[in-house]
Amino acid sequence: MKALPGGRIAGRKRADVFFRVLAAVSAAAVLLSLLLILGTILWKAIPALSLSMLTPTPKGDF
Amino acid sequence: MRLLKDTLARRGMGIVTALPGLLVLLIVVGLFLKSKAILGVQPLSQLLFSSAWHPLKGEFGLLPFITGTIWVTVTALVLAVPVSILAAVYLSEYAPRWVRESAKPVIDLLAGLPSVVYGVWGVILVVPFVGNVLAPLAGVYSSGYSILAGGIVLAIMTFPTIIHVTLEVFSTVPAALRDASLSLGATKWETTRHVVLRKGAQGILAASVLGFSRAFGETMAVLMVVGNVPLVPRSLFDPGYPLPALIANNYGEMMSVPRYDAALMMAALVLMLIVLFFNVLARRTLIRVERRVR
Repeated sequence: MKALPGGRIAGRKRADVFFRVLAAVSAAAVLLSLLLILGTILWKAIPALSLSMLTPTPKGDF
Repeated sequence: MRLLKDTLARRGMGIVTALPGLLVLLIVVGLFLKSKAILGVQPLSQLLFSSAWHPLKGEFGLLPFITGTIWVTVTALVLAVPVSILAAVYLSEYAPRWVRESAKPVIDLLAGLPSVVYGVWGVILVVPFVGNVLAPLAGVYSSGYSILAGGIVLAIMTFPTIIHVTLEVFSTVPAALRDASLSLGATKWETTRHVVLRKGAQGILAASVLGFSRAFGETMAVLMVVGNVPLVPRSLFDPGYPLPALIANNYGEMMSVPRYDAALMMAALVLMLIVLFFNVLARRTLIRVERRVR
């Protein structure tokens, strides 16, 4: 039996929704990667940040 | 007097235009002259296709580095190109204006991060993820310092380049074409696929080539996560050693080993020629696509 035109329209709409979601997920992945980079660096760096780390001149003895 | 000014301006601009091309030629010639010493001792075929890298024994096979570069770049592009194009499609065709306007500066920020930050992030997050999660899932052992880790970091680094150019390309597609397609009953995706992507095909290709060039020459971030083992990689979970990392790691300590500097110059020349080759290939493809679209 041949598919009804309504079925074809539904298929096209499904493809439209699928690619809309896929594109949105891709954009989210790109933006999330930046958040992940900034988040990781800040998470690791903030505990080590202090005024004493920035102000005195190094005296050697590393 | 006006004619003289006109001629001077034309010639001056001609010279300035020719300079970048001349500079490329100058770099290639310079690298060739510097690497000539190694060609006198080892034939080019042995340099390019031998995997024996033992500088102290005078063996300088560049195959592990060439394949390492290709593995990392191809992995990065396979990961980055589809995601970047789909992200650009979303931002250009589907996203509300405020999302598009706020996403653009964020992507710019991603482009502006120094590559060493990507490298540090890769060591902290991507390397353990590959070693502890992806490798066991694939049923192999990996320290995490691998082609895949390099590919993931590099893919994220190339996102902004590809997305930016693709968005620019999409913005040049006339709105009337989209409207005509939608008015004929096409869905948004069909319009994107048959009008926007088709019309912007050459620009997308150019964007991918730009991403490729960025990925191919990237040094710092890749060097930090790829493992730097001079062996030909057999899988994504093997460590690799791309050409830029080889040059960056060894240039300072080559003086004591004879012909080491010539071997590294040869590596730089090979890197440059591969990038040039792919750029020319992409340019030719662009011209062919342009002709076909017309």
